[in-house]
Amino acid sequence: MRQIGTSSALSTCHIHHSAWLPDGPAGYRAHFRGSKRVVGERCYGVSVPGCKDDTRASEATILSIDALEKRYGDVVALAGASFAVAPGRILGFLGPNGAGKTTAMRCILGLVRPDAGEVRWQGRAVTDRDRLRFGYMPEERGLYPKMRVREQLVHFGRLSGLSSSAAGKAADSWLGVLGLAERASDKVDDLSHGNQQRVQLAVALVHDPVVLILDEPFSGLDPLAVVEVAGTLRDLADRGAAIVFSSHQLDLVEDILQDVAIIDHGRVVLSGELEELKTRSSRRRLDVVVDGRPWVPNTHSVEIVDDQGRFHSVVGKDAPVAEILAAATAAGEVDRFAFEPPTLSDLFREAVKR
Amino acid sequence: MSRYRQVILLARREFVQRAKSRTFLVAMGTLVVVVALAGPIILLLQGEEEPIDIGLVGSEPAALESGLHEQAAAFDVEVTVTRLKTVAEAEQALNDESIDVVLVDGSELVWHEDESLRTATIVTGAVAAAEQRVVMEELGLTDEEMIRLVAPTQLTQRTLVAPDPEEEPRQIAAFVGTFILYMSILVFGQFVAMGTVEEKQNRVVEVVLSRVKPAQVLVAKVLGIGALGLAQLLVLAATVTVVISIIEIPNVSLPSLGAEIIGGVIFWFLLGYTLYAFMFATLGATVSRQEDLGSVAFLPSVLVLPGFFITVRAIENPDLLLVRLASFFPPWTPIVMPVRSAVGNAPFWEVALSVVLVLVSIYLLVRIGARVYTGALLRTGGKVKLREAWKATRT
Repeated sequence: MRQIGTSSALSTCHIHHSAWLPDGPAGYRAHFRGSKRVVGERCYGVSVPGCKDDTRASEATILSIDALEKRYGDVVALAGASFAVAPGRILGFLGPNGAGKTTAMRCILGLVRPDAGEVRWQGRAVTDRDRLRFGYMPEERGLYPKMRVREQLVHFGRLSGLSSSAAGKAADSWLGVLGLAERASDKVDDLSHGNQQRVQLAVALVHDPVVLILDEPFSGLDPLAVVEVAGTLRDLADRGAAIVFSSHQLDLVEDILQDVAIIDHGRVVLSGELEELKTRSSRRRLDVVVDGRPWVPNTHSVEIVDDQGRFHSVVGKDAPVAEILAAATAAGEVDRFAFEPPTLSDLFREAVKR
Repeated sequence: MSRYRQVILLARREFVQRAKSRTFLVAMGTLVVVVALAGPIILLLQGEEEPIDIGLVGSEPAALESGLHEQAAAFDVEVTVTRLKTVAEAEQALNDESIDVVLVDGSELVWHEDESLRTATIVTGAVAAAEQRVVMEELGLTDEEMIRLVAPTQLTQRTLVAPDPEEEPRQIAAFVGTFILYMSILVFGQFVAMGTVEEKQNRVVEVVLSRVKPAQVLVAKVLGIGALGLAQLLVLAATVTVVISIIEIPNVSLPSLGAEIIGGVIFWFLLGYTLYAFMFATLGATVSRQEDLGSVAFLPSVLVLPGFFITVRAIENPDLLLVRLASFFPPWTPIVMPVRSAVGNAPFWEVALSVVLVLVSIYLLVRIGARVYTGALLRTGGKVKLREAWKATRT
């Protein structure tokens, strides 16, 4: 992760979500909200489909990949991958390296043609015309280095179908939102790494996409920038965009995503609303610290997890909590006792079985 | 949002960004200056011939000096005569190049290094006339009789075939035109390959391809950079037009010759550039880094080279069988055929047929290129084999 302070732009960046809301490149009315987001709140106060109570979104508005298959020679990249995301929702597309995330995303954008299966949008196979309203930030970041920032945004906006004046307005709006207004006529080459990332994001957003696909948007960002980007995504989702992003930094993105799709060996092995998956899980995370040290109950139904040097255990949903607490108390002074739903990392580990 | 509009947007970006680059502007400026300077240089070369400076040392026949002027007049040049005291002084003057030749004692010609047959003839004629004059005076001839005898003989001349005053200017123009054509095709073709690799190398290509199809990128690149090439040729053409308006060659209509050559260069540039640009783009798409570009971009340059050599031959002998055959080989047509048209008499049907062959080749290259381009554009890291790129794209 990049050192804080290497980006000269950090001093001007907007951490507060409310400061991130643009007046809307395409005329959306900005609606302000607090920076604290309650994870687990079901409908996020958005009146778009996608909440559990709507039995997922109606087929008519959803983006889905259905049984995508793709081989490169002997390498199987996708082996029947499926997931769906509704407008207003942020889906985290997670999986180990080489699981097929990038290939699936490229299929959505039409960059890769799947051998089988299809990408569906609003109830039918997606067309190139639909894709003009999609935004994409590839994992391999890239811009025209010699082109000026605003010029570049206008170019990509127009390429996505905006008129010259609309593209200009959208570019100015995003430059303001991302704190790049003063860099508008700089060449991309002359920008700091952090600012280049902002421009990259702006390029994906300039045409006000209804579907946003981001490949590892948080990799290489410092913690403040992560908050920035997360806020931007949240605001876009609140305005009705369906967002899919991939990541391998599970702890980082747990509070950002609402839905998950975990892919392994080209197949989606777990998908759904995160809170629901956590609740439904048959396992619970047991995190006990006794006398300043991690403590694990001495029963055979415990699975010990070493989470980067910090041990906790995983037990069944119906584990005898009172007995375990008693055992812990007997072992010494209990500094911490947590019996809670599994984290995203736990779910992930369970799903990919490693 | 039509595909067509996207292509125009992409092409415009190619044109504008490259036109703004310092490398292009410097190269363009240099070319214009070189072409503009060609005018005054040609004028200088064309200017009045310098008089021949003749030095005389020692004894000399009577009335030699007037004889020298008369002889020189027959050759349409002027002479100046300088008398020097000693041979050493004369040799010094030769070394200084302040005189061209020294006549010692009316009997020996001394040069600095290079002899001039014409100057020798003029001096020899004048000395002979002076000596004859002595003999004639002894014979007691009248002045009128003497002039009749010693007046330089002038033969009238005629040729069986009327010399074409345009031949030489036409050959020079054809050579210059061919050279500019050859360079333009290669340089702007290379730009296409470089642009393709640049987009792959800085990874922007994936952002672009999320909005447009590879074939659109390919066509736009060829269009945009081609438009830039055309713009450069038009600027050069304007410069040439100004330059030839200040030069005059007897019996040659430079404006019409210039217009013909310029028209030919532009027409064949459009065909030749398109052919090579698609070749360059296809090959450029198979590499991922600028450093690797050389390993594929030399192929088109090598392909066109024999055509250029044949063209140089064709300027003197446009009707050689080799030249005729070469002008129908599509990779060479764009530089051989214009020379055949300019200095030879290529029949219309031959030109038309060669154009059709080039167009067919372009069509095939676009089909192959678009498919390879599509297969190779997203493959970064290393070189993609043409076959792999071809197979990667399913039709």
